[in-house]
Amino acid sequence: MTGDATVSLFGDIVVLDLTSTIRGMHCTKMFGDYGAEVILVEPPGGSLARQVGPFAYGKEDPEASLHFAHHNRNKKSITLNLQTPRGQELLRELARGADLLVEDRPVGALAALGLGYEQLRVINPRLVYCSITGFGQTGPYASYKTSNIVADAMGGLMGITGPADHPPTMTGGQQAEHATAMHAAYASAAALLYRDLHGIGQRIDVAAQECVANVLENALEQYTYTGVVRKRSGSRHGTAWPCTVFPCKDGFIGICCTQVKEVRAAVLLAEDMELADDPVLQSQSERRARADELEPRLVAGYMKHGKKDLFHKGQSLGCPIGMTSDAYDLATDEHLNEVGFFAEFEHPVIGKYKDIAAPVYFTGTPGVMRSSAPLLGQHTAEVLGRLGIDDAGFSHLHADDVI
Amino acid sequence: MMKDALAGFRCTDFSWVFAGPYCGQLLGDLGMEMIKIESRKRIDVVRNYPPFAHEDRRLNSSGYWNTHNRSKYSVNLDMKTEQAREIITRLIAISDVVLENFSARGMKALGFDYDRLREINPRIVYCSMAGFGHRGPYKNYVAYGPMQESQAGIVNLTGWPDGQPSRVGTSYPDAAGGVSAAFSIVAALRHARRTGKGQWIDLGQTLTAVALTDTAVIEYTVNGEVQQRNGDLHRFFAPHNVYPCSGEDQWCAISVENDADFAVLANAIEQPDMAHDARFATNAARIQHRKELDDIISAWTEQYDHYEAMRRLQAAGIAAGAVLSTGDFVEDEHIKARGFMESFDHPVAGEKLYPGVPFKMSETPGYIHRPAPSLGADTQHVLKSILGMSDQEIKQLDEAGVLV
Repeated sequence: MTGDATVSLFGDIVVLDLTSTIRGMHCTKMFGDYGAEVILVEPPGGSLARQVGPFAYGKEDPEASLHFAHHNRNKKSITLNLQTPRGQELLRELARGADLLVEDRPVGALAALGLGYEQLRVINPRLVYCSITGFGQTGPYASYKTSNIVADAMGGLMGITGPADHPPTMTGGQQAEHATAMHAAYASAAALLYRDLHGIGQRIDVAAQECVANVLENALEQYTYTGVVRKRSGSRHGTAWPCTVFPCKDGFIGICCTQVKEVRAAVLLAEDMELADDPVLQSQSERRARADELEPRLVAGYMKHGKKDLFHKGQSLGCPIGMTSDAYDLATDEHLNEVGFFAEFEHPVIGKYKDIAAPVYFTGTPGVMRSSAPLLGQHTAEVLGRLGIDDAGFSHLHADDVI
Repeated sequence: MMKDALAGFRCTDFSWVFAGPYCGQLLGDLGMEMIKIESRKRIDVVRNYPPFAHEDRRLNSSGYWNTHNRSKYSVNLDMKTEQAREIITRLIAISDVVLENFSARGMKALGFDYDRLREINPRIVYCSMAGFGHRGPYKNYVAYGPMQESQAGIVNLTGWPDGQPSRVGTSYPDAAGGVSAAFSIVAALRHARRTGKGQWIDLGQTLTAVALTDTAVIEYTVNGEVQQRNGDLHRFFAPHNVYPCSGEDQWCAISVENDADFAVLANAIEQPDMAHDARFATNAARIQHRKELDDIISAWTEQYDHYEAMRRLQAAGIAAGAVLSTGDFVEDEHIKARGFMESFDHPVAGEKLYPGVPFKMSETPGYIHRPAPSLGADTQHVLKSILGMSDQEIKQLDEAGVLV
């Protein structure tokens, strides 16, 4: 499939991808999944993301990193040594024809190479330049290093996650990184829309710390409204009941009820007929206050059944219930498989495999999985060829360690 | 006058609770005109969720509601009436976006499924946010964020190997679905402008959350490995954890991903020999000796409070972050210097601070355009200034019980 500009959401967009962390790579992935040409610029030794596991079949080969493969499908890879003047010059040439540049390097790192926003806007005033860092381009922590766990901690999410008798708990699946990437993608898409309308690009400064803080729901307001600092308190929701994770026969389930009819369905699912008619269920604050006493009664019922049976039976009763799915449950889930949530990829080193495709269904312009992740430098000739570099030119670039 | 990235775009917003309103918050802060359809007969449940500015929990004093609904107008309409549906039809005709997060049956019940929407306005971008989307075997299953994160596989990856999996401290799939929706809407608006074609964005919140499980699925399909939760450890790097500091329940997160950084850390914690110690010299060795390594680091962090440990390590060039409480965060010097928290004076809640826009845009800086509206506060404005109704017409609608 090609990125046809009329049927593809971002078929007219060229993204220069100077990222190597999830907060960057997931952002550009969101554009590539919906048709943008994403040109991943790697140093000649390859992106650091190629060094990160897990690896296919446990083989520590930069072309077999599943971490890299997952975050870079639908992208093209070119190598370019940005430490050399010629490499910088070529990147400037590419920026001339690009719509969006996304980078996740330390503050000022690209500007020092002559590739900062101020330098590139001169060449291409329509360029949207999105910088993703831990703490933003300004302020006392601007130069601080970040990582998923650091942003999780500094954004306030860790402090309110996990059981009270354990240390603050990191959210699984690198969520500080993903939350940051999604906000960066939103801001970038909005800037592209503005660019189309007004002809001018801009600089976007995304701070992971702030993106994480923005998903705290009502925890910051609890402090600014009432002065109360929220403590982590396990899985129980602060207001609704039952709204927590329960054990069952073969694992765990998640339930979250807000309406009385849903609460009753959760109780019926536990087959506790006496509790089902108890007036305590009528009041959210009363049933929440008696959670310690009531939860064991539900658990007694849930322990008799497996998570999948509870999920389907609970839903048929009108209970908002989910299985606590693991990777096997996800990969084999009938709903996800039926709606095309997964796609088959074919990669020269990893082979054929199934992975998550574009998650949002655009009925007019659905996401298309065009390719698996690129091999290192797979598209160098194709992309730089557009700049008029011929065979002799490529020989020089190789000899000079530019590509 | 500040420029807005989304100036000139209008959204008729039926969303409620968290996911849809978070999307609307992001759109509104970038200048889209958000018209939220409400009713005293069907109050957004979050208007009754804590925290409250007043102990009597009076209407319009919820901080939860007020943060996610700033930069919007609120219009009261009894959707059960024919007149209300006519008003909605007129609004949709002059809107660019329709946003809702009902169950898959919700909009049809209101009489505004996509077929009807595009009949009214062929260029409309319609974003639905049902729990499992509008297709597939679970499309009519009920789903809220706190259980979607279980179904989506995030809960199973969160928490401690010795105990139960843990919910995230926030209704995470709602927030993730909200920002994903905002991205999708803006992308579809661009497409509509280029091609003249609107479309239906069928976003399933559980699905957008599954898409955030990182390598869980690919590792299973390629290697047959089912990832397990691992507390604060990183499977492939050490040290990677939170370390106790001197104050009560104070912690500092530290992560080191290569040997060079480990040598820097060893110096920073005044144990330079560690970098040459066979137990710690390589990442593989450090993973093997995690416990001893974490004990040594903890002995150092325990001398300092969480901020001091972070400052000392960051000064040396190590990725370290104090585990900030919500209070720490709001009072944090960096957050203040960035101006991330913004205040607005709300007629019922008074002057309070709210999280602002988590990114800065040089040309079109996002900001909180107006305080969250009291229930129905903008009914008159929208009917009169946007729909051009006369005072007489509005009075008749009011008397007919439509504007409740």
